[in-house]
Amino acid sequence: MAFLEVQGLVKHYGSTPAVDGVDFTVERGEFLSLLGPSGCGKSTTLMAIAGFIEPTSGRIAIDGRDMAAVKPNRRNIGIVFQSFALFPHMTVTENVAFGLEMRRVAAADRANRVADALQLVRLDAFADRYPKQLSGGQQQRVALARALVIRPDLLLLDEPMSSLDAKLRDEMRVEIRDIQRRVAITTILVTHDQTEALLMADRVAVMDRGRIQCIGPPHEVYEKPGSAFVSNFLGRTNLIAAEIIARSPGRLRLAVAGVEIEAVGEATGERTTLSIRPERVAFGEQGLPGRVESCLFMGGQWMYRVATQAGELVVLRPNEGGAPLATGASVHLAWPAAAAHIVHD
Amino acid sequence: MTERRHLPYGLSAPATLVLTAFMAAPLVMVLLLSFHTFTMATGIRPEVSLANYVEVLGDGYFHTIFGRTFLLAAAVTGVAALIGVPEAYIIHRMRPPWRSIFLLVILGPLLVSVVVRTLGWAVLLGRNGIVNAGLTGLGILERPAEFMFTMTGMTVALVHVLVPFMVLSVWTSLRRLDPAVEAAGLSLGASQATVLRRIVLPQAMPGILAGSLIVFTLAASAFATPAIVGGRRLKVVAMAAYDEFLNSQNWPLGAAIVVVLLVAMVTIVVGYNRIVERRYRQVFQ
Repeated sequence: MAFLEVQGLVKHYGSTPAVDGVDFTVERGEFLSLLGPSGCGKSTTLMAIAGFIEPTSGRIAIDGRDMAAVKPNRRNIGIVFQSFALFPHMTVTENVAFGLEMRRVAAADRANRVADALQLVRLDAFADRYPKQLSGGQQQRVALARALVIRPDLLLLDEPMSSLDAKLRDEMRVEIRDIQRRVAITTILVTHDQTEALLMADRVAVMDRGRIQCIGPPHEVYEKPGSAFVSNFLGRTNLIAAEIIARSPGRLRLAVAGVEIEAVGEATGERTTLSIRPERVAFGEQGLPGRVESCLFMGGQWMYRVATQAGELVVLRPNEGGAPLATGASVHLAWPAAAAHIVHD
Repeated sequence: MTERRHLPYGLSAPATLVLTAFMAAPLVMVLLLSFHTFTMATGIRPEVSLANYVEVLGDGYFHTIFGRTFLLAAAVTGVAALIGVPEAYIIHRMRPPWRSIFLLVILGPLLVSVVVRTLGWAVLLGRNGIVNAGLTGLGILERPAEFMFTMTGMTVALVHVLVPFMVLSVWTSLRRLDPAVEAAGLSLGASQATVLRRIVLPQAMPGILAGSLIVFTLAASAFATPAIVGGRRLKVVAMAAYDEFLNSQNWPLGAAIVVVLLVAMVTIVVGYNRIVERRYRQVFQ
């Protein structure tokens, strides 16, 4: 039995469903990310687990124990809020000690655990500061220490990076992931940032319109998105309409704008849609003919836009030091059969 | 450039003129007047003397009046905080349509003329008023309670009109509260009551302080409500000054009473402000 179980979670606001039947499980020590655009129901799901939102129906159980009748202050869940929600009138130490005080931990033990927690987030030198005297990154670390010091069963991170600037965000992602691995705490991250979800989590659940569209390890979800929404939301992709010519088990022969190609997957009917990641497309002697429309330099990569009979395709090629293809050049686009995935709308 | 630099002075000139003409100048004149002497035979004489201050500060009659005024103001402030702070929190937690409706209800007393409102209290609180009729009729009291011409009556009537200032001021500081801090407190294992006491209340302190100062100063200088509900027997400072000016014609003594009241209030307000700001320094930044 999984450590956290969410079964058939539904939350209606009036007649509109915010969460419309969500099922997932999280193993002990696992890091799951709920990824999706705003309004997809990811935050509602998180707040239902925390106990701040009462679900319309469904079941949430932690370690086999049903949470329906358990109040938020009895769930033993650590939360890092988007705004950090530090107590501005308390010092860093007082903020971190608050949860231990509520648990009536003896003063000496409390001081030790607060010191350990502050050391974990590298803030031991700032123990007597007030939150307003700290930078955004430091405030976030206080919030993390405050959530971890109570040794919660579950750590919930609600868009924790969205109020940090880009450079700090990259650092904190790695740092939080390292801390999570070190203390081996079961964690759920809610984010709308796909890089963050892919980078930090053991598994990613992509949500849209109140449902989980796709769940799995980051590279699997990225490589085999399953639906047009997921492939578009998880990074950039090319969606191409194709005609089915022949089927063999697990493989399809297709025609894209008159050019025959192969793809992995199953599909019914005569037409289907393919998803091909821009970095998997290469320029070659044969394949889909096209014309380079534009070429943008991105440092490590060149991004080309190529007009073809099947529509405009984006192609990412690594920068190997040479000159890029000129705008207007005639090219052929090709990709390995395993890079073309059938997606469902 | 020069025009730019003078612009702020130009913009604040009208307010400065109005305040100088109608606030600063009369205050200086009252201050000067308080050093003059007065006898029934000679009237006001422009001598410089401390006689009025010796009388105000030395006479037990005035001690009682000042003591009563500040006791009343303190009681009104305390009761207004006890009623106003929870009221502000409830308003803060209300959903949009109800919030506006109840804010209007709270502001209600301020929309009614002071005389009408106070006479209304007289009708309610009088010996044969509705409150006493109700209490005796239900058998809760054997005899009618005295509300009129008592400190209790004055406190009730002043709290009624001054509580909106407390509510508005506390509500303003609650609006700056991050709604997630309450959830954070709960998630750390605190009960709802502990969250209110340890997390919400300290952050509402700037509003409670500001509201207390407004309520205290308005209660200490109130005239109409104490005059009607308290009557002649329970004089407050504003009534004493009024009597000296208009009944005894002793303007210099009246001026000295006013100056002492002003100095005492400024001292109390500044001192209180200092103490609370030091205690809750982090919240005020």
